[in-house]
Amino acid sequence: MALKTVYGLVKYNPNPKEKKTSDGVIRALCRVTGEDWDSIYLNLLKLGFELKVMPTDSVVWKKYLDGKGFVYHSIPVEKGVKRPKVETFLREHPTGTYILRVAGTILACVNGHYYTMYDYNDSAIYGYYEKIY
Amino acid sequence: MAVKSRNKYYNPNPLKKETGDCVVRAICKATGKDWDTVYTEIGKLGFEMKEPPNYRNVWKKYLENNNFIYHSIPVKKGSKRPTVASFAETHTKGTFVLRVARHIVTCEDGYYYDLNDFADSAVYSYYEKP
Repeated sequence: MALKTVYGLVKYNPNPKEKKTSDGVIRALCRVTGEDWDSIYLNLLKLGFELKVMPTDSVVWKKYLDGKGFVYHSIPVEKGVKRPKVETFLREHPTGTYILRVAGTILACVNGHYYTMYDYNDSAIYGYYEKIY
Repeated sequence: MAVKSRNKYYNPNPLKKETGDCVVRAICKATGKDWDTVYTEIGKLGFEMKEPPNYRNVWKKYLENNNFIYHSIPVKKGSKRPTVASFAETHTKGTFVLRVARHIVTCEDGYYYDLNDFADSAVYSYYEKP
């Protein structure tokens, strides 16, 4: 049986033990910064300690991205209009490095592909960060 | 007649943030340690396990390392799980960490301690402090 190909998805798991765990924030930050899992974990842990929130809290990863030259773009949606989905975003952004905020996690998107373990093509995007070079 | 709530407001966060730190909060209450200590200890354990510190595997391991005893709550078909409120009513002595959906809360001597009242949440399992 042929496996279904998911548009834009590149299977990516930087976890040192290759665990499939709820480390989506660390995974995404590894991909867009080029830093390894351990470094990201420890940096978020330190930042979370300073801010007194959990290391994978949105407050922490947002601050981390702010310090790495990323710029936030909100996605305002008019009443009755649906939010863009991941697949639509990929097609409209074939170049560049982004972090997409979807329900429950964040996704790294680089040059029209997203890097994670699962299919998020139908997930709605609430906002995104763009790497400014 | 109104039933008196067994919920007590509890927030050990040093900045008094009402944030998603329930794992640290519950462990603080159950162990008597402060927020910074618990955060640091589960952070270290999560690093060793390569999982986020508030992930279930990590806080379970942390409690087991601190000699807490695990109790499952088997439920027969057709019967309901106990709620946090009913658990507190029937456990008036001892310290327990209760697992409810996407959350943990500590119950001590018949009262449960948290930012919000999870009275009606079903308890899936719990850890008992020896």
